[in-house]
Amino acid sequence: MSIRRNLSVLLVAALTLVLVLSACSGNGKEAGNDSQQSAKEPAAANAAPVKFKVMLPYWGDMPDDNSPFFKELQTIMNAEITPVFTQGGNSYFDKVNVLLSSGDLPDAIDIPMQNQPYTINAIRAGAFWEVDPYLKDFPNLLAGRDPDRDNNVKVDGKTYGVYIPQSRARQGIDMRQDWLDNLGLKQPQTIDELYQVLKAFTVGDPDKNGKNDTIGLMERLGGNYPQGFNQISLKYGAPNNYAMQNGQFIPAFTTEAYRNAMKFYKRLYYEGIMNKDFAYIKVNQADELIQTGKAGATMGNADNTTTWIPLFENNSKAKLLVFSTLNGPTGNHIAASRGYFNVLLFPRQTVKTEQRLKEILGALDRLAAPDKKDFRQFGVKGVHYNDENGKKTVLQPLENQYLILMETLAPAPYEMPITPGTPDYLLQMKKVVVESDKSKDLVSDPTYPLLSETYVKMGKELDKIISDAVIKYIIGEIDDKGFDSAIAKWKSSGGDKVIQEYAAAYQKSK
Amino acid sequence: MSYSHAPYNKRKKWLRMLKQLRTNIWLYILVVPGIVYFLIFKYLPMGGLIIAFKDFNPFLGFLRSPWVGTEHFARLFSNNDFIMLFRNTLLISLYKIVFYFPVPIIIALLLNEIRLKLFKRTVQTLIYIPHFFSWVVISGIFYILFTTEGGFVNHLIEYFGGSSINFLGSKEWIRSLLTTQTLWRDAGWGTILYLAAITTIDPQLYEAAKIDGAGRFRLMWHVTLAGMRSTIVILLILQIGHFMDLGFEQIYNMLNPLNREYADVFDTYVYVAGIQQGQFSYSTAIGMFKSTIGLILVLGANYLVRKFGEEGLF
Amino acid sequence: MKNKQYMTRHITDGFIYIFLASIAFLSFFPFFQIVINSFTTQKEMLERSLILIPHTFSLEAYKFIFSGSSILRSLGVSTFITVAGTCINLLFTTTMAYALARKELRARRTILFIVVFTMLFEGGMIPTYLVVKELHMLNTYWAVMIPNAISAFNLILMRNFFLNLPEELFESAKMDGYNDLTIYYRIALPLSKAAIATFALFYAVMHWNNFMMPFLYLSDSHMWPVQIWLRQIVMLAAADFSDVGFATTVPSQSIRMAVIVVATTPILLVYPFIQKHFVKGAMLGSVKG
Repeated sequence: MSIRRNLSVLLVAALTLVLVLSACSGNGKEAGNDSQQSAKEPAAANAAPVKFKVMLPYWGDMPDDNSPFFKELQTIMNAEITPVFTQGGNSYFDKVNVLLSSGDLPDAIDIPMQNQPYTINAIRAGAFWEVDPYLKDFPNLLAGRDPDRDNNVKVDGKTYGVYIPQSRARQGIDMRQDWLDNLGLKQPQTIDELYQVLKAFTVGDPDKNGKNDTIGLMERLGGNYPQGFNQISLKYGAPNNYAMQNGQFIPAFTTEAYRNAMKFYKRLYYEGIMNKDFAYIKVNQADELIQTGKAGATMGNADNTTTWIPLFENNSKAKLLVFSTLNGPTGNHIAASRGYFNVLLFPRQTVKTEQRLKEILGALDRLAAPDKKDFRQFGVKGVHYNDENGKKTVLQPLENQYLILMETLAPAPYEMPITPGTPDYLLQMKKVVVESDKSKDLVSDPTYPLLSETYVKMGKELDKIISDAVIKYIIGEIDDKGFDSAIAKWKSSGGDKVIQEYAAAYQKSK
Repeated sequence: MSYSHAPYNKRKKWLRMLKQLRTNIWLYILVVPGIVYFLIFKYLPMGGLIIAFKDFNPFLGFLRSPWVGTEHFARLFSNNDFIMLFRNTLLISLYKIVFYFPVPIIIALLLNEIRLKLFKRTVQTLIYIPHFFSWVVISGIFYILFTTEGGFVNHLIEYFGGSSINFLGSKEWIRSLLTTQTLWRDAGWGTILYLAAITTIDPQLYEAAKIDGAGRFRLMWHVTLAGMRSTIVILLILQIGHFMDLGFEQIYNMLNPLNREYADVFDTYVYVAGIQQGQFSYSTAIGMFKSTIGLILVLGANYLVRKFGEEGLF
Repeated sequence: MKNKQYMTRHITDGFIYIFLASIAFLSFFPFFQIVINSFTTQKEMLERSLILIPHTFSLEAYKFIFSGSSILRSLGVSTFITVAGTCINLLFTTTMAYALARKELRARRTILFIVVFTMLFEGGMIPTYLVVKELHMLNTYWAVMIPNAISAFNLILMRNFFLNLPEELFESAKMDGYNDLTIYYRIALPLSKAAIATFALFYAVMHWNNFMMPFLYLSDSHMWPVQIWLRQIVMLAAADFSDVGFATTVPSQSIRMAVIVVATTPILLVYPFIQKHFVKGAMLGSVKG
């Protein structure tokens, strides 16, 4: 008994000691860092480094501000950055809102999905700098912009932030090339051929194991809809959320094409071509359908790495086919997204003068310079890669957290890093995403640059009416009449107002 | 007469109070830090509730955001789904009180019957593990158990000749599944408090009852359960007070378009319509509505309990 | 007759043992699965649906987790917050609960109502942050301990335990010239070991699982507890990346399992240690002594 008590005392004492030690070593590190930086200062470029604090989201591992990459980043930007790395996802917005209301804002803040209601209200209340008038002095920042994205990022016709460009179109169809080969099939060119292929994946024993144990499509909900639904509805010719005709806005779900897409899915569901539990399957288990070789295709993002990589890592026979072109009754259409995900905003509260704003923009401009492309994509020369007469060899692939850091901080033109030695399946995914970005078949959503008060207030509630109805239609719980009444409910619950407000906003913007 | 005596009486009263204070000075000293804590960390932030009557914009802050009166409450009450949300909240809470609440008590009573110390301790330690599972993980486990596509339970049903049941994709089962989840996760955890309550029972009571010829079941009922009574009563009142709070995480992870009609509750609605949309004021208004009902329920339950001679909450 | 009674007793006992053992099994099995999966490879997890004993035993996941210093440091931080925070909790909770359990305290029902009211109405995230900020607690460990100093729920139940102590004890102590402070720590506390152990556990678990407060109040990542880490990895795996504008890699399933094991095992080990205080009649012995 007393031994045990002594033991527990010892345990607590040891833990306390560890804690104190780790706290000390933490402090020591920081102190060392400071002295290093101050030692470097005289060697830096003619101007003194810009000091600023920036809040950035991260997913997975957090970047280390003592790493060679981060140090190089500061040198390139000629800046002393205090990063506030914060978990991405919903809790990120909790923190943003807390900081907004308490005034503890950093000098720059990265907002994912800036056109969400979270930030619209603050932007309208004048919380952030309008950047339009200043950008002209920064050629590298201008080079990263283009009219489409510029248009999408505007709030009430003005630009409040520097966006980090992303591909406009990530959607695509990923399927097992080795299954196609086994069945003697080719890449589908039309919606009907896609159906034939998925059907063959289901009934034709594509894995040649003699058992009827496969399905064509792995499907799960992403953003309340089946992952591939938006893509298929566009292939059928439905607009991307809204169509605009003579200044009037027509919701996609009121069109015939949209209903055809629902029927397509209904058929997949009834014929057992996709997993019947798509409405409630969890992400992990859905991914496992692909990873265990039970399902042969996904129709979400073309670069759906999380789902597909483990398959190829564990099954050397598996091969991938990725494509985004598929012809429907009116040809090929690809849904265009806004073309950026992260926007850097500069709070007026902390960035007090124009001079200061220009300094920070200048630092970002240096990071976006064309000659820093290798840094952004491969990392630090001599640490991550070597360059001998233009031939690059990778010493150590740039860690994921720094690639994400560049996606959230570097406003350079959209580019897809392709490291030498990248496996074929990743190259394919990247290629499709890069090519779709410039595709002539892109269909944009005319409401991107517009704002509807009602939608800001209750958009998610309204969206849910339709997405629920789509899923009920697919599994046969409601029919066309039921879907019509869902549309009627959408309209009366505020949808009519949304359409009117978009039309009014459009008139105003002209 | 009363005129001349009044000041005297008042003074006497004061003196008495002062004396009471002085003799029990330590009680007051002990209670003050706690009161200060509640005032600073609970009541001061409650000022933020005014945003239920404003259109709160974090950047403008609590004072500068514009007033809108009872607009948010009107929006809640006029919502098409209000009745559905209310009904679901009511039913799921009721399920929990009826099917979950007694279970930890029963387990604690049974554990108390165990004489093998090692067995008892092992069981106690194991049954509280599920409490540390996050709802995300639990909903994943339930998916694996209950899906129609090769789920464990449906395998069993089919093995015994039944036809598979769409547990997760239908309205009928969702409330039972939620209750089952709560049972699995928290029943073991809930026993801890009762086991602690049992330790306070005077062993002489058992001896006395045995001399009176009480059997095992009567000992359990008249001594053990009676000894846990005040703890049970308090937990019941608190549970009733949280009638409207079901927590958003558990239900949100189980919710899908096919069962929403039976499982969407205020906590999940507020997440979609309020929090995800950055509608702070609307969220706060819904919270206030829930709290008010909770307050009424607590006051009512407490009143009833005191009427039956129990100590109650206050 | 006697024999028959004896038999029924044994049969009931048997049922109780079987029932409790099966509950224990159901409670433990999923955690066991997580532990097992954390020791195997992704390949095996994909190939076998249920793994009781891994064919390929692998420590890769743990090597990965402990390769950086952050998880070890955060475990230390969590331990510190939990131990220090729980001490603060117990001090504040038992003193207030004791005072509220004494009839001599005037206005105790009003105070109790004030306490219960806070269980129903909460100011919310932003106002609480502002209070913490005004008290200059941001970025100190006080911020994750003091705003949680008393849980109304635990306070009320602790008071209930004190109420159950025999009244004569207090009366005789008063006769002996004890004041309430000495009664509190000489009599009330030693007699409530089981209750104190219980609430120590409740508070410890609260601190250990706390995510939101460290997340909002501590911006220096060196100060982060293990929950932030755990949450990041578990949430990331369950997240839907169709919304995020770029592809990112999610840690393998065995790493996710290993993180859950590493982050929950320390707190799971607390309960077996406090169980020894759950001894029946512990109170009586002290009274006689």
